[in-house]
Amino acid sequence: MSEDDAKRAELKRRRIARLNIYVGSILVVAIFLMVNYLGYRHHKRWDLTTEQLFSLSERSLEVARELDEEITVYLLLSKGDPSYRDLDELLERYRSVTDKLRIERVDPHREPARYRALADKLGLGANASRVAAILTLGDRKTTIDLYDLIRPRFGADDGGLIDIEAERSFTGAILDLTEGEPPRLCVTSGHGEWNADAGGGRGLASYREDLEHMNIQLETIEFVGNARVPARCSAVLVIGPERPFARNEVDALADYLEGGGNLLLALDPILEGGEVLHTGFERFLSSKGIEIDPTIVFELDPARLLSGSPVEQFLVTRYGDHASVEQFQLLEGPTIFHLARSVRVREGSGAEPLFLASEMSIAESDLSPLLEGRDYDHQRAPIQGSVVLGAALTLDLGDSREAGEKGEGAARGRLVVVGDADLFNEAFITQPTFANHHVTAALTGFLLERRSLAAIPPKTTQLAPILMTSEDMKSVSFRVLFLLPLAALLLAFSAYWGRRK
Amino acid sequence: MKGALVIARREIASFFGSPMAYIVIAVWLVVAGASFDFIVRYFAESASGGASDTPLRGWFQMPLIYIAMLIFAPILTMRTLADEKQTGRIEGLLTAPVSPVAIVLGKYLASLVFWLSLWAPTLFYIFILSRYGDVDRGAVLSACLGVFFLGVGYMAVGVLASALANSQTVAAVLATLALAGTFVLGLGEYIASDAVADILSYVNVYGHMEQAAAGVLDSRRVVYQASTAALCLFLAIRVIDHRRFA
Repeated sequence: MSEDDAKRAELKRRRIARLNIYVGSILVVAIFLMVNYLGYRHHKRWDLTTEQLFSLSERSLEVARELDEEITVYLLLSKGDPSYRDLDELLERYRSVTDKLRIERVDPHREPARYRALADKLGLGANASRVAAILTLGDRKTTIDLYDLIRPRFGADDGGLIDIEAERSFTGAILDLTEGEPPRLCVTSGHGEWNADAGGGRGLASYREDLEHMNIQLETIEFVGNARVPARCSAVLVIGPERPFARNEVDALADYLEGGGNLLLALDPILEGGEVLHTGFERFLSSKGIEIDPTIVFELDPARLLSGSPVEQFLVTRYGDHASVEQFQLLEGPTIFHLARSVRVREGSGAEPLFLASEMSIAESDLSPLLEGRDYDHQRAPIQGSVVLGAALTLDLGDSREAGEKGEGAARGRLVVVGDADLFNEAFITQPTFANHHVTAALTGFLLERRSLAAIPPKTTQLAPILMTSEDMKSVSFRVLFLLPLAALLLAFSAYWGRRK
Repeated sequence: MKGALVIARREIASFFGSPMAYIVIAVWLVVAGASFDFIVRYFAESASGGASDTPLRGWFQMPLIYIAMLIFAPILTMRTLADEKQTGRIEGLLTAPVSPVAIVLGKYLASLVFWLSLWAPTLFYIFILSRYGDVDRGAVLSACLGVFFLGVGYMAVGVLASALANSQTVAAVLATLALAGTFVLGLGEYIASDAVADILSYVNVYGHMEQAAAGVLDSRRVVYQASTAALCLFLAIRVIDHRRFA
């Protein structure tokens, strides 16, 4: 072999070696990208916390696994929002269980045009700013409000409670979308009730808009004379009737309730000739352990009055232990009432109070001194202090064959009685400073077993919190800032000394 | 593999025989201690956070810790291969009966030990806190695994930088730039939207640690760090191989 041949062979060998390196490197980079792509698509997460703090509840897991159609979640929070990271993490939990959840994040601040287009497309209306997420399935949609996500913590007793409101809301929203036809609330008419289509003082337009966000429909039913509740009604609402219901109408509602129906009565005190007009529901409600008194509530705590009048526009911040309003005990969110009647709950009836006016409040049935401008003595009022303004009852239909046949979770008769229709007043519902929106949503949820369908028990932690005195903190500072680095420096000196030797 | 272990042992002995190793650890402990002290005081004084928020979680989620790592990690790896080249010992190593794979793996294993030795003293923080309340051991394990996998990736990047550079300083600068680049890129998750944010969250090292510190280990983080390490080590082997045949 000549020298030239040898050189050529060496060059060829080097070229091949170089080519090998390039091809090999490209292959390895391709494998790297593929492994990461697969790792990204098919991942698993492990909640290593002792008490499984970052795991979905069994109920949510079940709901997520059973998804057979793709749900799109539009997360409408700014990345700077304090809830964003937690919500995103929560959605990841769902995504690790199902691939039927598509998440689109739309930042209202960074992508205002996209956000507006989406808000228009999904018909968010004036309430868009309080919507945290929208879930859509086909042409059905449901929204989750910012308020639905967070359960603020007040007081020391709540320290061990883990916030699961967001999980409840998401699982409930998925159920809302996947469970058959959207529920329908039927508002009665024919007795001067509030109008389901109108806005303003005696209109339910704002409430209807809230319901539409929850994928609930509102319709008006004529309920006069030989009335019957249509089978399509998931619940019946009687809001602010000005004339009494006839006996057969009440009986029809009573039968509906006994048959597992859901009924809400918001009964304003209607004054006629100096007295509060009866409603027609007195006997029926009394049989359920709830008394609606012909009274008007006087809030005598000046701190709770908005207009100065003790009967008009007063705030209620005390809530009963009933599951639908329990959360507001912690929030102490003010619900506004306006010209209300008292509602009493008989002990042992199973009914539970919902709202209580202040300890200074009274309910008066004899209004003549006030109307005639005579001297009035508050001390003589028949109901004194912590006047109850609403009550709720779940009928025990354990023996009902119908309920039994429907199986676990079948509708049970649910009854809500509120002594004031103004709870639904547009002016109060649309005011974020008042809790009326939340309260009406919570009561609707109770009636329909909606968000509460996702009956996720609260998580608690048994881990004792880290508690330190100022002395303890000094001791910690000394150890971590001085002792540990000093130990490392001593080792450095020892290594240096060893080397010198 | 035997060759790799011999090289790793030699590296470790050399590292811990030098006072510089302990000085680096001492400086790190001052940074870590100051941030730990701050977070403990914050929790003790503000009484904020829910049941799942603990000082340890807060500490493991402090960005400062991971920004510091952008400097400490290259310091740990800069001498692995660059020093051999700088001092001319690399030629001896390449002619010795050890493969480039063993050389790179040995240096890498030693770097991982350095990484763990940097973090090991911070286990004392857990011991300290456990005297004042309950420490969620599961969450601590998750955070430790997060730190370990972070080291798996970071040390490999450092070794690659050291293989590419001819001096320790250049190796450190290269590694710092690479790590800081991916760190900042990952933070882009917080400003990007949708698909881009998804991709960036995948490489967001701070996000990884935030999750691990809370007690959640995600296979994506493990795959990302392990595959990054594999890629970097492969490239480092190629660089050494190339030098052998050059």
